[in-house]
Parts: sequence; structure tokens; C-alpha cells
Amino acid sequence: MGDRAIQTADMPKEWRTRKVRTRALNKRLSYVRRHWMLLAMVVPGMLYLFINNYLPMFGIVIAFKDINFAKGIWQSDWIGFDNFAYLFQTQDAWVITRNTILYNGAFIILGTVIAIFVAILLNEVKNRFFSRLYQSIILLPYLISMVIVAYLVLALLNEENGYMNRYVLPLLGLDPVSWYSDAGKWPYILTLVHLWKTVGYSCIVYLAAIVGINQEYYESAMLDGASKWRQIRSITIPLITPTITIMTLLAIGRIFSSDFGLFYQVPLNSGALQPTTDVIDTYVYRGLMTFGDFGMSSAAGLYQSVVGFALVLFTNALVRRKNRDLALF
Amino acid sequence: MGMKWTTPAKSATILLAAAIGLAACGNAEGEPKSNGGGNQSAPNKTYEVVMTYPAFGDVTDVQAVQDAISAITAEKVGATVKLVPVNGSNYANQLNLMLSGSEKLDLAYTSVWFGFESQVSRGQLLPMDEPLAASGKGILETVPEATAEAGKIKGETYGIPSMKAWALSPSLVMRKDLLDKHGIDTTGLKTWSDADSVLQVIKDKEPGVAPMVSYTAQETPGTAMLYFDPLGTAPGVLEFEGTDYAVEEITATDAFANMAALMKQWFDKGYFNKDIATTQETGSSLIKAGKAFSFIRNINDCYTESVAAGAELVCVPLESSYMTRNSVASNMMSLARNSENPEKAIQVLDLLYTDEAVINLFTNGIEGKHYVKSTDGLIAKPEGVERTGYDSNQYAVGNNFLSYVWTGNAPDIWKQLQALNESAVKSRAMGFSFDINPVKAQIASVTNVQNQYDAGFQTGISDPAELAVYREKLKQAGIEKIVAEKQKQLDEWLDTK
Repeated sequence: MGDRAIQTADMPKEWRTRKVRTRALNKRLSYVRRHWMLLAMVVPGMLYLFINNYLPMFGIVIAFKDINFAKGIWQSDWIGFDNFAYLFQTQDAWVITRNTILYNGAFIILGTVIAIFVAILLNEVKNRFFSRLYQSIILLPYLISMVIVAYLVLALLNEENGYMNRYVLPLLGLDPVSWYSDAGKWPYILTLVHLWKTVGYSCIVYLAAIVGINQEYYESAMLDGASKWRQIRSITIPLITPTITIMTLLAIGRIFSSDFGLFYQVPLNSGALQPTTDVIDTYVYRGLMTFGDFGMSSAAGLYQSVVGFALVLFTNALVRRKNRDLALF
Repeated sequence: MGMKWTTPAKSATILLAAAIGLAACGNAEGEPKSNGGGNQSAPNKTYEVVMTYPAFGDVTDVQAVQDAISAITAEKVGATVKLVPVNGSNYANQLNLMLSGSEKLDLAYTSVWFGFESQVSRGQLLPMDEPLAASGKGILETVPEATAEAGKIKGETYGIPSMKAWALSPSLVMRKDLLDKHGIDTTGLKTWSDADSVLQVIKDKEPGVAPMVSYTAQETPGTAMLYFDPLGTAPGVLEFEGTDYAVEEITATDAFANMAALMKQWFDKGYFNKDIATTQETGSSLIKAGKAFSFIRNINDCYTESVAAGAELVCVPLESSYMTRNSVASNMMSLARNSENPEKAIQVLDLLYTDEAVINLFTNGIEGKHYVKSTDGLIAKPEGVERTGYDSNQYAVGNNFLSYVWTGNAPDIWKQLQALNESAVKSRAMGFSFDINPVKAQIASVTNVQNQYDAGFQTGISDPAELAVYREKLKQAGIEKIVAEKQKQLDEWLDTK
């Protein structure tokens, strides 16, 4: 290394930079040669990402245009932020923003806690058959369409023939409840439905992380006489913290978007429930359904993405300050 | 004991999370049946006119029908047709997709309920006046001038209404069997509140049957009681009576307050099923299941309602039949932006309005296969065949008055409906279309407020005393601006008349 440096120092300046460049290139080439198989495996994913996520991004301009197909997207008139106005002009703007954030916040916190809890329980089931069986059963609701979920909920909550009003409430000596016009109960109902539906899916990721933990940690802990609870607290949770952080950061990126099916189908689009079930997505859908305006719906989408992006940057910075290794980037 | 969170492990987790997410959103949209304009028509080849429309029944045999129609059109106008029926419940979405892409499409069914005005303002439909003058003589002769007004926007034609019953009659629709059973006389029914006596009988004597239900979650009992020209789909209505052109905000009218009070009264008396505001079942299906006695709706004719409900119904009109731009322009044919040969498209459309063979093939299918003619000139399904593969698709397209009449109708039903069209109260604002663009933002907000409150008042669940709250919310959402804009546009339209 030493004499090479001397050699390059003797060369004219141009040569020197060229030499350095070729060396860097060679280094890169040899990297490619060595890892070409791995790199090739990345290509389809990159292509997919490019075609699916980056190409359509030019559509962002639609949010600032008055779309006219006779003129084409590029030639349509620019109208600045007019398409965004409807999102902010009434006091509904506050209600839908509050609902969206509170619901998603609750979903992130409760969803994570319960998913980890379930993942730990599943990990403790040593019989392989039952472990698989439980996993499948918990995952099942995730695979059911929201429309069907809405009817399952209706079967429970139907005013006259629902299971709750017909059997459960009389059994407890309570009066029937008019579920679909009592807005106050829906934050609980929707949270329950969401958890029931998604926990099976999110616990897979945590389960994978837990399974990956080296058994030796547990063995030595047991030798030291650590209880199960202690093992969970001091081994499992710290070791899956990176996974928790990443999953949470990703979820925060979507905090301004909501599960449309859950908020639109499950309350059966009942107007009386709107104060507690209306979120940004349902508001936009209802408002624009009649005239299907591309500009205004793109504006809503862009608004959600920008806020989501900002929140991810912000949370990531927070995480980074605490522990550099845990941050996404 | 911090295990090092290495970069590869981090990437792996992100990838895993992303992969599961991706797998979850892999639900493909239903592809439109058309395969696009593959080969551009060579000079000598006959032009293929692609036409899309909603179909509500079974249309598996559409290819055979298309071939039969093409045989006629090829001979008469030198063009073949390609029919692209889309399931009725998906039609609005599918149409928007087809009009936004570069797919070949000549004729498209449009409707004020499916965003006709927006499609025009986005430039997705072509003005039809020139090709109509050149090759649509039959259409111009068939469609009455006053009605053709409904398809115009700013003086230019963008849609041709289908020939059908355009008049709507706000009616109380009841089951005949129960009326007969309890010997109820309906001749005394003159106003909406008169229905009280009938509903009370059913309430008392027919446990398990809801005296009244909503027709759909949108068509609640109170909807049809609001006797106004809605002037399009945005807020701001016009009274049928009188001669002035004052646009009113509907919740401010006495009619709305009276309706809300009557609905409240009926709800409290138990005439409605309890889940009336959110019910997912239509009035027809509830009647079919024997769970309901009546509904209130703006109807075209009683026979159609009876068929849908699978029971003989008695329809008592409680307001005069009326015709508005909405009732006419709810079924139209338009020229799509992507049409490569508007002239041929109009020629084919012309045949749908003038050629008995073409329109019968289109609405009823092939004689002998999809229907048979009986001696009295009416048609029916072939004996013993339940599924013909081509269900009759009436009203939406073309000149239905040229098509054969199905058994069960009065043989002169078309004459009756034409007479009804002529006698109906016609809105003074027939040719007026509201351009929503200046107030789009307000409409989006108001729509959300309406969705929250309207059904409550129209089904009696909400107390009429809360009307003030509703009106205040509408005001905040900008309803006054919409009504003012509508008034302004209506006045401008009057000046040009």
C-alpha cells in the first residue's frame, strides 16, 4: 500500500485521478462479479418498485390541475391549491383528522401489544400441530373481506334480530341498544373489529423475530432461575425491539390513511355514526363519489402521503437520537 | 446484552413486512370485457362501433346478439357493433376507467347519476350536434325536442335520452294481498298523511310485517315526499308550481319540515322497521320475503315495481306525475372521446332509435332463442326455459317504444307511458344543467353533512327540532354559496332562452 501511494504521487495529476477512478471501478466490478446472483435477485423487486411506486408519481401534478381529458393531463390548467380547499374548509376537517389519528394511534399501540402477546403465546406452544392450528385460526379473520366482516358485525348488532339485542343483552338484564345510531359505542366496536381482524397477521412478523432468538439466552436464564415473565421482559422484548420499532415506524407512515373497508363498510355507512366513524378516506369518498373528481381525490391522497412522510421522518429522527441502530435510516 | 441490530437483519425485516403488505393488496380489478382497439380499422374494413352500457341480468349470450345486430348494421350503415355490457353495480366506476384510458370506445351509456356533467367538463364526451345533423335524422325525429334539451350542456348536445317513461309519480306502493285481506279502501288516499289509517291497520293486524320500509338506504320514505325539481344532483331545488325561478334550499322549505314531522310521527307509531335508516335490503326484497307491506317511491309504472317485488302491488300516486331533467337524463347514450368514427357511431345509434329489428335484438335478444312471440303479439320466455342467457335489458338504451311488450303488461303499455310523458308536469328548467365546478369544494363538504343528517329526518329517527342544527351545519359547509351559484347559473340560462 505504501509504495503504491508513492508511485501515484509521482504521476501527473490527471493520471492520478484516472488511476483512482479505475481502481474504484475495478473494486465495484469485482463486487458485482462476486455478488451478481444476489444482485440479480434484487432486480425484479426494484423494477416492481419503480413501475408501481415511482412511475405513477408524476400523477402528483393532477392534484394541482383542473383535469380536462380533451387537453390531456400536462396541458390541463394549473389551479394551485384549489383542489385541497374542501379538505380544510369546514369543522369536519377537525373531526376527520382527529378520528383518523386517534383510531390509528390506538390501532398501533393496541395492535402491537396484542400482536406481541399472541406471538409470545404461540411461541410457547410446543406441539407443532396445535401451534400451526392456532396460528391459522388467528390468521383467518385477516383473510375475510371487509364486506363480509360488515355482515358478521351486522349479525351481532342488528337492531331487531342481532345476537346482542336478542340474546346477550336480555341475558344480562339490559335494554336493547340501537347500535347503528349510537355513535358513542363505535370507537370500541371498530377497535375490536380491527384487532380481531389484523392481530393474526401482524403477529407473524413478531413470531418470526421471536423464533430467531438464540435459545441459549433462555437456557442460561433458566439456569439462573429466571421466571417466564422475567425471561419475556429481559430477553424476548429487548431482542425484538428492533422489529417493534420498524413495524411501528412503518405504521406511523400510514397514520393519515385509514382502512377504508373498516370505516365505511362496517358501520354500514350510517349517517348517525359519522361523528365517530368518519375518517379522511371515508370523507373524501362520500364527498367525491357523486362527481368523481380526479384532482380533488389526488389532493387528498397527496396530503395524506406528505403528512405520513413528515411523521416518519420526525419519528425516525427521534428514534435515531435515542439509538442509532434502531432507526430506519 | 444488546444484540447488534445489523443492517442485513434490518433490511430483512423491512422486506418481510413489505412482502406481506404487498401480498395483501394483490386483488385485481375486474377487467373490462373489451379488449381495446387492437387493429385500427383498415380503409376497406367495416368500422366496429364499441358500445358500453349497464346490464342488470344475465347476458352470457351477448356474442350471439352482437352478431345478429352486426349483420343488420353492416348491411345498412356499413359498421359492425361490439357490445360491452358491464354489471350495473360496477358501471359508474368502469365507465370512468374506460373514459379515462385510451381504450377504443364509441358509444357510452351516461346518466346524471353517473357523473354525466363532470364527464363533459373533463372533456371525456364529444359534442354530438354535428354528427347528429349529418347522420342522426332518425334520432332527431324520434326524441321530442323538449326532452332532447335534457342532454344538452351549455347549448351543446352530449347525450341522447333513451325513449322510455320519463315521468315519475311519487306513489305509495302497497301489497294488494294485504289490502284485500283487510278490506282496505285506497280511494280515499289523497295526501301523504292519509296513509296513516292504512298503516295503522297493518300495524295492528299483521305482526311481523313492517307497515313501511325504505325502498333503498337512499330512497327513504321521506325522499319521494319532497316534490321539487332537484335541478341536478347538487343542493338547490325549484318548485313545480308557480312561474318564478327562485332556487330554494330544500331544508329551509315548509315541505321539508312537514315531511320530517310526519316521518317522526310514523316512526314513533312503529310503522317503520327499526333499522330503516341503515337497512341493506331493498323494499322489493323485503316485500318478496313477506316482511314488509309498503314503501314510498317515485315510480315509472306499477308493473315494473310488481315484477321487482314478485307480488301484485297497488300504487297510489299522491302527487302529480312530473318530468325533470334528472328523470330524462338518467338514461342517455353519449359519444365517447376515443371514438375514431363518430359518424358511424351515430349511424348505429340511429338504428337503435328507428329500426325495430335492431332495438328488439338489443333489448330482448333473438326471437325463438331468448323469447317467443305469442298470438296476441306479446312476448314471453320460451316455454320451460328459466335461463335464456339473455335477460331483457329495457329502458336504458334506444327507443324502447319500438320493442315488443312482455306478457303481463297491458298490450298498449307503450301508448300509456307516452301519454303519461305528455301529461306529466314538466319542470320549467328542463334544459338547465348546473355546472358544479365553481362550488365543487362546497358540494363535497355539504354531501358529507347531508349523509350524516338526511336519512335521520327522512326516516323519522331524528327529532324535527334538530333541523336547526342540521341547517347550521349545512351553512358552515357552504350551502348558501351553492344555492347562490345555482341561482346565478339558472338566471344566465334564462337569459339565453
